[in-house]
Amino acid sequence: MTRLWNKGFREHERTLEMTKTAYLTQQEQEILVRLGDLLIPGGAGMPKASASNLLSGIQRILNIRPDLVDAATEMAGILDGSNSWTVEEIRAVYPTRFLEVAELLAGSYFLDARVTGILDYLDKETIPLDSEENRNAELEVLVKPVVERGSVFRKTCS
Amino acid sequence: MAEKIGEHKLPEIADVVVIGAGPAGSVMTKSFAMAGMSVVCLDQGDWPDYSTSRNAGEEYEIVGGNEWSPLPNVRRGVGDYPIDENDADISALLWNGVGGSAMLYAAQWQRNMPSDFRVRSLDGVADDWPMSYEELIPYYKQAEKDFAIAGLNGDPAVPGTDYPMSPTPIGKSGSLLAKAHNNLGWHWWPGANGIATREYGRLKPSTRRGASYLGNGDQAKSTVDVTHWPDIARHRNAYLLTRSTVARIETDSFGKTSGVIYFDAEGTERRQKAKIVVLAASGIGTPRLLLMSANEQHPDGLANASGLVGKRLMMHPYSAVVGTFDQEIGTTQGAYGHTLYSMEFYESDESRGFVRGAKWGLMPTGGAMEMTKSFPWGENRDLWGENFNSTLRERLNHSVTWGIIAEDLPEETNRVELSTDLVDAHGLPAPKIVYETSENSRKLLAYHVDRATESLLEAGAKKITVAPHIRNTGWHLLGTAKMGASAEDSVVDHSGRAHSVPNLYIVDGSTWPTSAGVNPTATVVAMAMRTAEMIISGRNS
Repeated sequence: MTRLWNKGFREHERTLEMTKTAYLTQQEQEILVRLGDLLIPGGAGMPKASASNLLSGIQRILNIRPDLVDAATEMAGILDGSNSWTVEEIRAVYPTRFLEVAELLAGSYFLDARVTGILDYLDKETIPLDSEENRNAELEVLVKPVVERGSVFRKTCS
Repeated sequence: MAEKIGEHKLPEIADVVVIGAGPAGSVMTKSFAMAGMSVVCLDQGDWPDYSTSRNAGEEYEIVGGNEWSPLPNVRRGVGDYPIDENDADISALLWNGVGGSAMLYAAQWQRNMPSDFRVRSLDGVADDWPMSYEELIPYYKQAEKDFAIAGLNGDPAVPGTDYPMSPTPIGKSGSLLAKAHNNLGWHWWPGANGIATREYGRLKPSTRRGASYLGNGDQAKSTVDVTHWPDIARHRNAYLLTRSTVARIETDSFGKTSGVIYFDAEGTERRQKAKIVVLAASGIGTPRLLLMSANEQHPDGLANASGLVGKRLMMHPYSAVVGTFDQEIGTTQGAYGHTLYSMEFYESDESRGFVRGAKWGLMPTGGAMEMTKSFPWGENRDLWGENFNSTLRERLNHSVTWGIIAEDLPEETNRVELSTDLVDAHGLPAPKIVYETSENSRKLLAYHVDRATESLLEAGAKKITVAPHIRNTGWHLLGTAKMGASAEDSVVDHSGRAHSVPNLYIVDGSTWPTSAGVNPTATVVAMAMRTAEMIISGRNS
């Protein structure tokens, strides 16, 4: 039997999948926040997931990663009505979905400026280059022993 | 829409058709255009859309999981075809579109070593290449100018470099490892990268966001959409057809190629006749197309008299060793190439129990999301839950990675063939890859992991993490249309010309007789320049 790879290109699929974000219900969102606290309980001077701007982050990520919507809704359905799951149990029973939802929740957490501020994480700021002279001066000192040791390749005849 | 560069309608018979607008295909197209030849380049993908890579935004680290994934089976973007990988222990990573897979490269620029061309003579395994390092030196030099390489000349491991720019800063982590290697008496050198460190042509100096891996949003990385295509566009005799998928290469009654059949952007089947066809479609795409081009004259696929089309797939098994330091070492940002490299253990040493070696490249571990990934951190059993925040702080800005590229020796059982049940959007058979990491590669990687651990401990690392073997490391796709002197045991000759189809050339990594143990882009484009020169001079004479 021939398996045809769908003709739908990425932009078409994204249009379709974008509509799924509307179906994250209030209850699903609450369950995801609870799961967030289970995975990211805070500590080391940092807030727990629910103390970050998690729901806003989830929405931002699902808008650019609609492929994670199914994982989010499915995991919310699995955890619905129970607070007794442990991280290890979820991971053992639903390994793929676990990793997808963990990516969603951690990514959302890191979109909170307070979190990245505590980490002193510059987050894609530009860092200007030092002058070429300064850079080369540092390197000349460092590479001197390498140059003095000499060739480390096997010579061949052309 | 397909984009056409050039103001007139396509030539009925082009001097050359080039398949693939990656680095090698673009080098060829530019050379032919400058020589006054009519050239039509087809690529099944599109121009890159850097707005979606969000390189200056907070979401940068999340888009690589889907739209910018190196896995076509995940990405499923314009021009992507599925790959059947059920019988492979490494996945093929590639990008279809203008820029080719370099769209997702870290821009680490490394020439092959002289010994890579003499593997049989020196080590008694695999094959010598039908060319030498010395023959390629002028082409390497030209490529390093055209591709805007920033590096430090004078490395005693890599003879004859002439980089046009000084290297990107090695940073705190690079300085630590450089001093460690000086203590150990081991080779290291500042990394050469296709990342500009000053205004250079159309490239801008690196912003050091640490975000140049996905696409080229800051225009500091050397990708051919920036470095080559604006020049090509000035030639009225050059054409680029995007979203145009070649279905087969045609041959005439004399056994020569007469052109290609392709599906245009609207899915209409078209023919482009040509005097010469050049394949630059990657170590997966090239054998796929040769096999899809089977006809009555060539029942086993085009240029396949030797039976080697698709065989000898090499993908550079890869290991990573992470050192975590107590102090901050500046590894959340920076130029995302290799800040240092080491060739200390590159050459064969019988006492190690394996042949050949590997290049090491020192790379930052990256931003916050990268601290949660299974590569290089493994299963992360202890990450989620009460240890999350402390582990995050332990890793972020405190860790650096030696990436180890193992030389992969060719084996005919590792191969690309046509899937019998999986097809692409046009109904064309998907490639199936069969690949198993060899015993030599496993021994080689184990040895190098131990040495890289020593290196990081000498630099002061307090914790070492060895990345597990994972599938998604097949960046370098090599060997599937072997170059050699004889039609009996190779697909193309020393110039890249198919032994059995005299006006068909292959210029991507599929022609490599052996894989070397370094990033291949430098040698792929140097060889493409050499082939272009041979074709043009042959035409003129």
